[in-house]
Amino acid sequence: MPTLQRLIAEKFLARMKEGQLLDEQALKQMSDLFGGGKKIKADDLVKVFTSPPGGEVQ
Amino acid sequence: MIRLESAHIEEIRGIRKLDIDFSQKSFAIFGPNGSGKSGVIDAIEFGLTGLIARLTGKGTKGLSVADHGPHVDKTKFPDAAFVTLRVYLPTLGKSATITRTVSSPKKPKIEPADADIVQLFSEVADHPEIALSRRDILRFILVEPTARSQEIQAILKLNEIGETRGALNTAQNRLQTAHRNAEAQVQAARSALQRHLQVQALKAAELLEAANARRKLLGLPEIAELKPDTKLDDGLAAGAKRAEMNKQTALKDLKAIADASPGFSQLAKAEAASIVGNLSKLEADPALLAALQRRDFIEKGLDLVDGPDCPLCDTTWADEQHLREHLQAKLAKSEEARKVQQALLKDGATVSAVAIKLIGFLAPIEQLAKTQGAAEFAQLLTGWRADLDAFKAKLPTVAGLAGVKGRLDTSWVAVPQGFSAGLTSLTEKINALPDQTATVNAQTFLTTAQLRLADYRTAVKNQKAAAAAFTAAKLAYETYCGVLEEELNILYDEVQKDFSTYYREVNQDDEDAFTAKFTPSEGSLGLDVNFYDRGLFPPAAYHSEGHQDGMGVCLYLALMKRLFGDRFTFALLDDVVMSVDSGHRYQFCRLLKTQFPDTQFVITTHDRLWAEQMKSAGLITSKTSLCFHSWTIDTGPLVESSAEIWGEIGAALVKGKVEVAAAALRHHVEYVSRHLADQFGAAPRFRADGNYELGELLPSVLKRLKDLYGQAANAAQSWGNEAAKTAATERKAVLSASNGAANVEQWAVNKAVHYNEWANFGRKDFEPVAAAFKELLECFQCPTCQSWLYVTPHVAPETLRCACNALQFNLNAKPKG
Repeated sequence: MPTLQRLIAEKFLARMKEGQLLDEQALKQMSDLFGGGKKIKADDLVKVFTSPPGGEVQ
Repeated sequence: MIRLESAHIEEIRGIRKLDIDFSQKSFAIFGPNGSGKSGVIDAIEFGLTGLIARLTGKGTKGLSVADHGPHVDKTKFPDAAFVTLRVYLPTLGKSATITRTVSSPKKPKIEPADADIVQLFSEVADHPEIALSRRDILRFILVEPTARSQEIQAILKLNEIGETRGALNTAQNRLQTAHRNAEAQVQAARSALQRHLQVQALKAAELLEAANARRKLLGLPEIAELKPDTKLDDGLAAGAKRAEMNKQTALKDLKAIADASPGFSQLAKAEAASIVGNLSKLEADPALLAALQRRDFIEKGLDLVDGPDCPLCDTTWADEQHLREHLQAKLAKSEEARKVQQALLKDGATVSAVAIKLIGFLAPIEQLAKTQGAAEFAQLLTGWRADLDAFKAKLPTVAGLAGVKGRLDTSWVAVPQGFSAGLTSLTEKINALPDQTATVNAQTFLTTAQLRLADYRTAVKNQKAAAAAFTAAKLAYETYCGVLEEELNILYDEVQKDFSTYYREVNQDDEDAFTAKFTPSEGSLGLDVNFYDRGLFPPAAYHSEGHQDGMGVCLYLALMKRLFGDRFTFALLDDVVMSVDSGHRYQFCRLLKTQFPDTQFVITTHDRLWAEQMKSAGLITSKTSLCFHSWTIDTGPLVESSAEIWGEIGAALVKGKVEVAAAALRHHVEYVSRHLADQFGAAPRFRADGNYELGELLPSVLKRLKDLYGQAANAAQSWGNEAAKTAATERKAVLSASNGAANVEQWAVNKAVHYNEWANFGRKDFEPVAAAFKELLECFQCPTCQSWLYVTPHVAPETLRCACNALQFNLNAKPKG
């Protein structure tokens, strides 16, 4: 039986992938964070979310 | 996960030394209050998890496994306190032993130490909820919805999920603040660029029109399209790009700040006042302030937790999970403080954004002062900017806000003395400068425009990155919360169904239509139950205490099923269904047998009847149950003796352990005396507390049996039954002789003295004592079936007999006449 934590993490990552707001690298980092078995810290998440390059001035 | 084969317990809690063979079967330990039953539960729990729930959690401040886990006489010798459990691991198909000492609870000795076995024991250690006491039941049923949610989330290990959600929320909040600041930076940069260009809206066409007019004047080609890499001063000779101010723009910058300066004192005034108000509220309410300070402190600590050692106070906890739960419980208590904290930080973020804009105003003036030789004013502006930067840095935390409360209460902008004069002086100085030639004006216009455009582009780029990061973080948080809610609803729905099914099974005679409803909402979990089809009510509203107890166990079982699924193979139930009446207990046994056929339950109870019901329901057998008849601080639980006692005494004597043999004999005689006093209806001096001394019981039992044999002999004579008369008379004679040999009246008077005397005997001295008592006690037994004799009926007995009827003495004499 998958643990509830794992079940939620898997669904969450799948939906984040569908949302297409994060690039592949960020998704990989998120997957590593949620699958690493360690406590997820806000600092780690901030690094992931700030990793995509920002937009350019048009 | 596991099945318990056997346990060896030494010097744990109230137990001195005890071996129990569980045989992987459900097992019952029964005996009166204070006989040491829960000590067994504590010991098994400790052996499996390194914890003793009774010594942790609410209401246990000052208690610890290290200090209070060992027997009270061994607190200074924690090495002597240990448990060895032999367990079967169904998923691995292996058996293993785990030995855990109080001196080193986190480092159990596991044999064999195969990686898969060690891993499985580690998983078991992470599940202290395998032990359920009646105190735990109250955690599920008779609590506020918020507390129930926390308790159930804790048992289902949902705290980890809550922490992940918290981390996502914190990340979202931080990135929101960063985004707000980035937007403020964009506004400041846009304002500076627009002021320079003198345009109402920052549109590419207007920007190019202004730039191209200067480029045309300088003979430079016009720029047709504003691209991301377009440079407005492209084509200017290097010398023309020197950092020289544009007089008109400088004057506009000076005018802008001069116009704005009267309103400095009003900047973010409402937010600053709100911050001051909330800070004053905290100061006036020391409890709220303390809660908030603790909250801040605990939040930092929680973030730093990495193992069982508290990063705040260095206390070592049983494990990391307990430490986290402890810190989270403290956070949950300060909801009002959380609201105040949120309001403070929100207002602080607004003030911060305004400060960024102000700094944006000051930057070009400072540069102007430096280039125009107004060194003193430039220094003043540098100091002011640094001051505003330092002030801004205090705004994201409550502690920082408290540190600048005085400043927020007056005018946080803190215009430095000499600013107005310096500004006037610089303006006059710029005004006094000769007008720039059209060429220089055009050159400086383009270089300044390019610099400000570059600043704006950087600010926009940063803002977009910040917006993207915030959007992603917000989406992640909302997505996680959505998934969490969906899964929790599924979980609660399943638990709710199982809970209702189990409860109906236990109460099918009177509540066969029982239903329950969980109502989850953020941070709470309501529970209502159907009461005889009259509607849904809180469990404590109408249901009896016994029914509530039943609900607690059923909910526990439903949660365990959800948590472990097929791996729910072991549970410790410590006196948990005591207020359930006997009829429903039978159904409870059936529930355990039918719904959890693969689960080994170790159940304690002080109710002998309940133990018998478990036997008759087939949940346990005589071989899978144990009765403690009493407890002493020196001996621990006193187990109801069996035929093996004489073998144990003999074995101890062979090893020269007279003290062990003496203790065993003493316990056995105590048990038998109590048992026989009941069997015969003996008449010791009445004690309201039922705590009879051996010196009172055994003599009364001896006298009673002598009287019964005498009565039997008289009755036999009255009926002319010579054989029966002879048998009764002979047994009475043997009893008298054996009593003399054991010298009961001498030693039984003072338990302490004679107990110690025995322990100090040599082997040769003690062997005759043991033999004499064996002979004496055999007088109370049937030589055929070994059962203890008893009278029946208990009141006004008519027969003295054994279980097999091989011995049966009529006590009723032939009526005269």
